[in-house]
Amino acid sequence: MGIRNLFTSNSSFTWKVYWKGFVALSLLLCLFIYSAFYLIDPYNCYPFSIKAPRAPVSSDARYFHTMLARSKAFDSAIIGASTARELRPVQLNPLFQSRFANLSFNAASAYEQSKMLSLFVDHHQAIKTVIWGLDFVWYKTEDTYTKFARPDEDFPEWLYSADCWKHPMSFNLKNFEHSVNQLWYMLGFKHFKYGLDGYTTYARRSMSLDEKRLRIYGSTTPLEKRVADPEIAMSAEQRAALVFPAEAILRSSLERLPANTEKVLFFVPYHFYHQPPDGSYEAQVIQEFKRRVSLLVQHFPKTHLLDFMIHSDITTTDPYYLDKVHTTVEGGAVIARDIYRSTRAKASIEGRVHYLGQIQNLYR
Amino acid sequence: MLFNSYVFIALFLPATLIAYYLVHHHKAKRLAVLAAASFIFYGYWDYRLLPLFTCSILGNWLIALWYAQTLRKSLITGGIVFNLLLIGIFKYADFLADSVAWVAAIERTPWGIVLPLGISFFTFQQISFLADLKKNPENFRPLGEYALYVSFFPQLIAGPIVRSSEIMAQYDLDPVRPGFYERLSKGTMLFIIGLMKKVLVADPLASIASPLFDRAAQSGSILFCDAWLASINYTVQLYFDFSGYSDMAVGLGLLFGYQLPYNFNIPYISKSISEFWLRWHMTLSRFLRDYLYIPMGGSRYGLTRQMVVLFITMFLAGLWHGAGWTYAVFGVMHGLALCINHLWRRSGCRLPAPLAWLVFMSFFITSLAVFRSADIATAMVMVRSMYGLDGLTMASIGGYNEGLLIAGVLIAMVGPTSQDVVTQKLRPHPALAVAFSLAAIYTVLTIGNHGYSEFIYFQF
Repeated sequence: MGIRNLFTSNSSFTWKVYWKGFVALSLLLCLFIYSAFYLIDPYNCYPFSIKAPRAPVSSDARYFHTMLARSKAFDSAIIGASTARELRPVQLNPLFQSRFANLSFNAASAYEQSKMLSLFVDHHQAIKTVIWGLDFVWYKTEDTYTKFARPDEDFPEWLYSADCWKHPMSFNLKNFEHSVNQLWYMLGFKHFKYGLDGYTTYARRSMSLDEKRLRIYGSTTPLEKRVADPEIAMSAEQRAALVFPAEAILRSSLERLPANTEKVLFFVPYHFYHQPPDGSYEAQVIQEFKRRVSLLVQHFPKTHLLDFMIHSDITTTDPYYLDKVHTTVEGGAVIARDIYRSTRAKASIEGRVHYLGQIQNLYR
Repeated sequence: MLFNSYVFIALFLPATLIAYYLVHHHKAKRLAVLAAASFIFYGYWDYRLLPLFTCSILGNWLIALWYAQTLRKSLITGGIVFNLLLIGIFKYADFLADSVAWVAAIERTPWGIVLPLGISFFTFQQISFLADLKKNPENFRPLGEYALYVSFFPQLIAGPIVRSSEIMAQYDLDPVRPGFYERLSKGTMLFIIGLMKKVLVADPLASIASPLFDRAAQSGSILFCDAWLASINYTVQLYFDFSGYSDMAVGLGLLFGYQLPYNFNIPYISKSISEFWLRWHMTLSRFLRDYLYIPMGGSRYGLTRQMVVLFITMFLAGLWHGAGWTYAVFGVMHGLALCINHLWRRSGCRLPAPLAWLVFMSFFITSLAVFRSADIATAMVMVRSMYGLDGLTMASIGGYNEGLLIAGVLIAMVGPTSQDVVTQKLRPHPALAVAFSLAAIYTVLTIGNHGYSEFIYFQF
């Protein structure tokens, strides 16, 4: 059957046979693929799927974390972008007496994070603790805010709906690829490195201090932090006029959380070298956003607001960092421990974290 | 409803085909099914557009009826003016008022008139009907047939622009006539090829070109090589987007037993602007020639008149694409280029073919950079950067898909055209059925990944 035959007549294979064959084959393939999606159910969200253990079988956390967000194995969640990925549930579980799923994922926009939290809330009646890392996507101002951090990278909204299994967009190539991987996992042919509690280290390999510094400073020698030039003095009116579109998302997300859920919001610890210098426009924008969030959390019971985005022992310790914003496993462990200590002490820890939130009704 | 949407592919099209072929032996019923489906198709975008669409069809048909009974030629003129007024109000009123306000340095708030989808296409089609009716009054058709001629969903939103004589004669033919399965098969093939062009080539290229054009608009600058990268990507994207749509339209026509005219014939192989317009959007070129260029005098009244007529035709063609100065400049550029090309040919001078191609393509890509830009200021930024007037920095953002771009360029330049492959070359074969089935499913799965985007020409 050579390609040449495609261009020559074959009296037995008429257009009638072609058409019927094409339609039958296409329908059969569609049926087969749909059945495979429903039975293999890579995201564990379809009602009639095969009962078998499933795992995150790809780094597409926007897809696979939905499986964890629906799972009853967890009663607590870590929300955020890549800067919250180094918080390990195994470390936090005994501290907070909770069962955490780390639902943070790379380049998550404020909107995407809120959708992940909503999904978790929809599937859990009693939520013990939510730890939420706030990074730059939250304090983007009106001109720079985008609903999706990566417009060219798809966010599968359909997977976040209650009836995702009915959604026509489930017929897609990612689902196909993930179904094949999930099937291989179920059959024991393939193992995946992605954590069953959502934690997969951001640090794929160990790095020397020189390498880390190169990523932080662009040089193996630590550099002096730049100063604001020129310094800008924003008036109270100018600060009040700043519009943070993600602020409303944060408010509505907090409103969705049960009153007795312990909520820990923290500004992530960007390396101090990369924090905007005091007196700069950016620093004042961030400061204003922190002020707004600290006012916001007053309205929500059992809510802590911590600030790691400061000059501190953490943000000036180069070995804790893989680059200017991401911490190492060790750095993540230090932050997790300080989150616990600060929330339990209900106070700042000198030189490490500022406690910005109210806690008066934390244990009522 | 987009051709590349699940609701169209999985629901609307199969349902319409089933309903159509259930009554195929009864002409009035099958045309009614198609007309009803076409109105549903149009109303699905925004049902509020249906009254205007219906009034436009009804108004034109009543004028045609009156003309058929009285043969008063002023009725046809009046009908054409009616159509031009309609498109003028809905498409150009805000633009003209803005331009006047700009000249008079007056602040004005736009009226915010909603642009009815496909108005440029269905208006042209109705003008063509009236103009043809003037020559052949016996071509008058009942309301149902006329409504279907205007609303036939495969070509309603973005063409091909069909002449009444091309399609209405086919209304009498039972779609289940000899060649039925061949038409179904070839229609499906063309639809799948068009879908692949849109989803697998045009959309990925758009994701490279669009951010670069947006960046140029926002920052007021773009690097030399990024300007070329954006413009070349857009040039290939536009071809695959529009020819993909046209393939799908022709394919859909065949599924219902109708042969629609082809719109593209390897346009990027052209070595001159005049050759290009014989290969690109051929049904628009034909419309412009028959209903603008020739009625305004064409080549019958000497060189000067011909040049003026040519220029006006292309200027109006540019404006037809959209109410904006970038489109007007695009039209001016093409009008001037056609005039120069005409004079060049008269002079007897010839360029070597590769050089002629290079000159033409450079011009065309530049004109598309203007066409695609958000406004004149951005167009200036793009053109200045493309010709090194803002420096020759080579550093690029990177991340573009060279393989896809090169493949796209080769297919667009060398061909063959989809219609040639499907109608002339392919023969029924089991491997072909498997290949098209797999291709269709792969493409539909890809749509699920990214969602569906509008065709570029839908905005016109």
